[in-house]
Amino acid sequence: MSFFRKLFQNNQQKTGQGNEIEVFPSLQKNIAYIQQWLFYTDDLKWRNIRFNGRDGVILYLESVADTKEIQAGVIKPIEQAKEGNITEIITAVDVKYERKLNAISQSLLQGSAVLLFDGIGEACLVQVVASYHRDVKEPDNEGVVRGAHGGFIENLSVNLFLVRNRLESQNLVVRYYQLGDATKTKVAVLYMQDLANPDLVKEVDHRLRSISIDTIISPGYIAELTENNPYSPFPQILFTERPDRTVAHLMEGRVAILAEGDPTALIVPVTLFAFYQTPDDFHSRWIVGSFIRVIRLASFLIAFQLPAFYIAVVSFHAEVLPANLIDTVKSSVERVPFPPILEALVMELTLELIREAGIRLPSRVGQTIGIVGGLVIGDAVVRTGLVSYPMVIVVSLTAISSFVVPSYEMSSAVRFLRFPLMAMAALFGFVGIVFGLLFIMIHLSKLESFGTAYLAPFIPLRIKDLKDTFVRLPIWFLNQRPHDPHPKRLNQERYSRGWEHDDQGEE
Amino acid sequence: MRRVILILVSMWIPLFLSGCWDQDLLREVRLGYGIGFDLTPEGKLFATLVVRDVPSGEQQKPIDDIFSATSRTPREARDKLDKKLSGRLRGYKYRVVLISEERAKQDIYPLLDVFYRDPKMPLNTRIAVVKGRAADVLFLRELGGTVPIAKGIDELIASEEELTSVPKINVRSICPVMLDPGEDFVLPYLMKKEERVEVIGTAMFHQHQMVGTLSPDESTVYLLLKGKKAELARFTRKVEVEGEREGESPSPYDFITIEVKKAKQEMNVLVNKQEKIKVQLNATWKVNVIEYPRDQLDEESNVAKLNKILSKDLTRLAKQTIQKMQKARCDGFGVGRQLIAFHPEVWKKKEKNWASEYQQVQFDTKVEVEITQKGIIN
Amino acid sequence: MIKEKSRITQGQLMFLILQIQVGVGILSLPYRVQAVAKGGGWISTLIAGIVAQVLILILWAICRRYPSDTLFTFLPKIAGKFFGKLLGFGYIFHFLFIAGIILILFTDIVGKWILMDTPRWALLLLMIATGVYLAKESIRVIARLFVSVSFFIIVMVLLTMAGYTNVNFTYLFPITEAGWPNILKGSSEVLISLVGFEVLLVAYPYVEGNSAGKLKAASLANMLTTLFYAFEVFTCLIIFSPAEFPLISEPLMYMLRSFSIQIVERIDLFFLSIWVIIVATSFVGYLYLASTGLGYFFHRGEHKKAVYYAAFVCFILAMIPQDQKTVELMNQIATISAYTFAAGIPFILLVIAYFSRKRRMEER
Repeated sequence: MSFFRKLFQNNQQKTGQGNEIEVFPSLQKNIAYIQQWLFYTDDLKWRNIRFNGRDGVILYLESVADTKEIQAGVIKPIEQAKEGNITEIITAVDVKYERKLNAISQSLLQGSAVLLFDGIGEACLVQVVASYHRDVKEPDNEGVVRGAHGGFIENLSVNLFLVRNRLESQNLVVRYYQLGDATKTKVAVLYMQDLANPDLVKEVDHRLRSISIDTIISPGYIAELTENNPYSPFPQILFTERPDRTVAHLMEGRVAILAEGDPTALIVPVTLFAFYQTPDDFHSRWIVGSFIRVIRLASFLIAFQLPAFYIAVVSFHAEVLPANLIDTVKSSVERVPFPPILEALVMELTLELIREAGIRLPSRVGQTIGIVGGLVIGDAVVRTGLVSYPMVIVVSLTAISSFVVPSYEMSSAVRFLRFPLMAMAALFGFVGIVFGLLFIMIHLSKLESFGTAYLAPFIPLRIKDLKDTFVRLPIWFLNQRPHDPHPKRLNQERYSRGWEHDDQGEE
Repeated sequence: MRRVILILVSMWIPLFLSGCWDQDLLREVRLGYGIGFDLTPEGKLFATLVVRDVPSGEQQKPIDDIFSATSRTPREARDKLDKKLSGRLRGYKYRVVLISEERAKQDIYPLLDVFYRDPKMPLNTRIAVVKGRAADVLFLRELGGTVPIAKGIDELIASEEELTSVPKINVRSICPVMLDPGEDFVLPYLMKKEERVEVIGTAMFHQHQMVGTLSPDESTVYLLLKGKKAELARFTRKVEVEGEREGESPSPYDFITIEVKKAKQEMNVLVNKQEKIKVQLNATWKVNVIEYPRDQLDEESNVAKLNKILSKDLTRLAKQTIQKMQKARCDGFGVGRQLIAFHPEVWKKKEKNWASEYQQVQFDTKVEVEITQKGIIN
Repeated sequence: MIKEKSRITQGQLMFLILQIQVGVGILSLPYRVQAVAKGGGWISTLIAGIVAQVLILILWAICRRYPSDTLFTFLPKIAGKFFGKLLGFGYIFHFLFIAGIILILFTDIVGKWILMDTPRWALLLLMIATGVYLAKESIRVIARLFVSVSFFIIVMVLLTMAGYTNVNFTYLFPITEAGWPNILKGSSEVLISLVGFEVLLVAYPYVEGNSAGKLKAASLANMLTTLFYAFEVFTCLIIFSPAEFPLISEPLMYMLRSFSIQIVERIDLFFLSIWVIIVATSFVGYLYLASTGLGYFFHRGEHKKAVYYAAFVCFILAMIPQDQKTVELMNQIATISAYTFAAGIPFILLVIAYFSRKRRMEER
């Protein structure tokens, strides 16, 4: 396999070298070459001009280039001046010269207008790329109650602007990559020079460079190609559409990867707990923030253990229910004709169906799904006695808890994990659950994300970092950055509440 | 990836192939809620079982299904009962075990062995002795027309526990005491009165057998002296004050109801040179007067007088209780236990006929009552 | 010599030892101790802790001489090539055997308390699959997991506290009822449950820091285990009357059977579930030790490959006993094996190492 890949790569390079043709002196020949290079695509347009007494032509792809900009920034000045130095005349910002026909053609694809003149072996490339992008809006999947409501959009430069705007530091470094042999997707890697661990940056660089693929469509491609253990159900890279979240992570010494055409930032390395934090934690008061975070983490446990626990109880260990509770449960399960595991599976799968259908449908029809799913199925299934009431409660509780997770990827992972645990519970009761949990725990403690233990700071234990893990202590408690990305500088807060002591002195 | 799929798939196969070895589906079992043991005239065991039937409709109250069987052992009884029952009988939610007085006067350990041995059986089941037949009580079906019998008795005993008139015990907690040669226990003592069930005191045990009974007041005094005061402990005593006319029926003015707020007690087991055993039992109770129509509690002298009368009265009651226990050979205070722990040489000598030795033990009992609160009027 | 990636801290060493020590024996420990030492059982436990401490000192003294060698590499240096290898195999066998015994007792107790009808192989498969999944990792990953799992020991202590609602301290007295000889004899029962500190022989070179710190970590682990055991034994002693004790072979589980917390009854089932984790860690510990040995001899130090067949051997071992008698017999063999390999041989090795060094010094 690798042999073929090598062969393929070599071929590519060879053909690339063969195409290094310089600009012909003849205008017609140049146009013909470019036309041929683009396979006579219909959106290649040109316009003849005259300048310095020479015949020239402006070439551009009307689908990428901004025609107004060409008109105002290139044609108009040239028409007015008639002669002179071309760089001085053209009012567009980015102008450069290029001799290689191949590169010239390529730049057409990236939205340049190409000025070619008869008899001159050099082309002038003017950057006139058209940009159509939507407004900066709050991302639907990561809303917050308070705080910044801006989100990334599908345009890389706007996204970089959003980050730079929040982080006006010389230390913020942007590194561009081009990924995808066909799509040539522009990818930017962001990190703080004074914080991010050089090993981490090197590792990210190494992994991105080794990507060899035709198309990069979504950041999911990049994530899957770079994450440590693709077999794990757990996401090892944090996806976020929030610039403020990105900045917060950058300031902890992590690396963010942004791609053209997608509003998602990939953040590495992350720990499990990063998926359970939101900017809201820091916008609310710390007691409230901690409380909500604890609830969220509890929801993590509920989401994948509750169905398993319920199955274990009703099919193995009914004796753990107190006398008063057992009546209620028993009266409800009495009529159900299936074993609890089947009951649970049917309900859980129905829930997944409703959820999936709800996402895909337009919101007006989505309401119908809610009614059908919630009222018709939920109610009818119990009334006919196919599923018991407690099971419906358990399934809805799990669903709600799994949606509490601020990250969609983690929420799916958690919901997926229920199924093996349910099977274990149906086979061995509590013992099965314990082994299932132990297995997951072992898996998690093996897992690493770009050299960081996935369960840090819990495994390996680092008490200092627990201040911002299960709870969120006041910001002036968090003197040090989290240790898990191994930042160069640990201190992040010094003596912000020093004024307290100043006041005392005055009195 | 293939490995992962293989694991995931192979996990589900056994589920649909064989089901599971230990599965014990809640929906398929019938839950026993209470069991009563009587003695047949032939000396066999007569077991009465209460099975809870839970109608599956909404808002229908559960009904207790009650039936009996005769057998030699409890387990055999259960198997016989199971034959009369649709679905498998499961005992893990027994709430009460009732033993008839007649049966309790024999060894009760065999009745409970299955509770101790089977890991599925509950150990927090309440246990009580019934005057008359246990079956009669259980066949009442409902207490007061609303509460199913097993639950009703369970709650009845629970509320009496709060009043310190029966000890807080269950099948588990009597076990160490029952097996210990140096201590005995008491159980709640119930009786069917008309269509209701009443707690009429406690049944004293010696080793594994019932040996006598205590009245509710005696039970409370015993529990207080043992330091097992629950939430409430009340006494209504007759206090004879001056000016009382003879021959008349006692008027409500002659009575006082007190509630023991704080009970402090001290038990010392002393052994003298002749190896005579003497037990000093001193208790101080701080009480709250909750009913005393004669009032006049603002006067120091009256309170002091009442303190004196009550102390004397309750000391007498305590002495009477202890006497009764000694006569019945019930070592409820664990005098033997103290000997084992602190005078092992003495115990070695007395171990063989501890029951009769215990009757010789001299108790030195004193109860001191002190009124500290009197409600919001004087 | 030891890669940076597989190093562990001293704190991790502590939890490593703690988790391997606290294991399958904890449930029946109070019963076994009480049978011999009566009310003085808790003293026996403390004495056993002190003896274990002495043994740790011996192990440490050997390890200190070969700071970058594991058990299997320094054995030939002390005892010569042939005997060194022989002893190495002896240790591997010992580790496998203890792992097997852990499995046997595990299936025994689970089969007795919760899963009565589940076949033994199914339970073994569960445990072994989980064990292999962890044991094939580096010592660092294992230690990391053990640290966080130690949280469950605290939960066990808290659950035991529930027992204090109904206790009778006079059951303890007279403390020396069984007499001092029996109390000492009782401590030998405890010592078997304290075994697990042998992991020091293999883990020593992986630990960061100086030798004094390592000794401190190992001693602290032993102390915590001893205190935990003493607490559990003490609690059982004041809950069960002396006459009741002989009836109950797993007192810790038994005492929780009657307690309930508001919404759940039968805390013992939860206790058992936690205990399963504690057992799994001990099993993983021994499986890892055995497979490092096998890896050293057959796979150039890669223990990963050895884990699979080491686990298979444990499985076979655990399938052998079909009745209580064989279990007893194997238990006795394990006891002898533990005394030999955790106490006897290290002591002899230390003496040899001491004299050979002296001789070398004199020769010089």
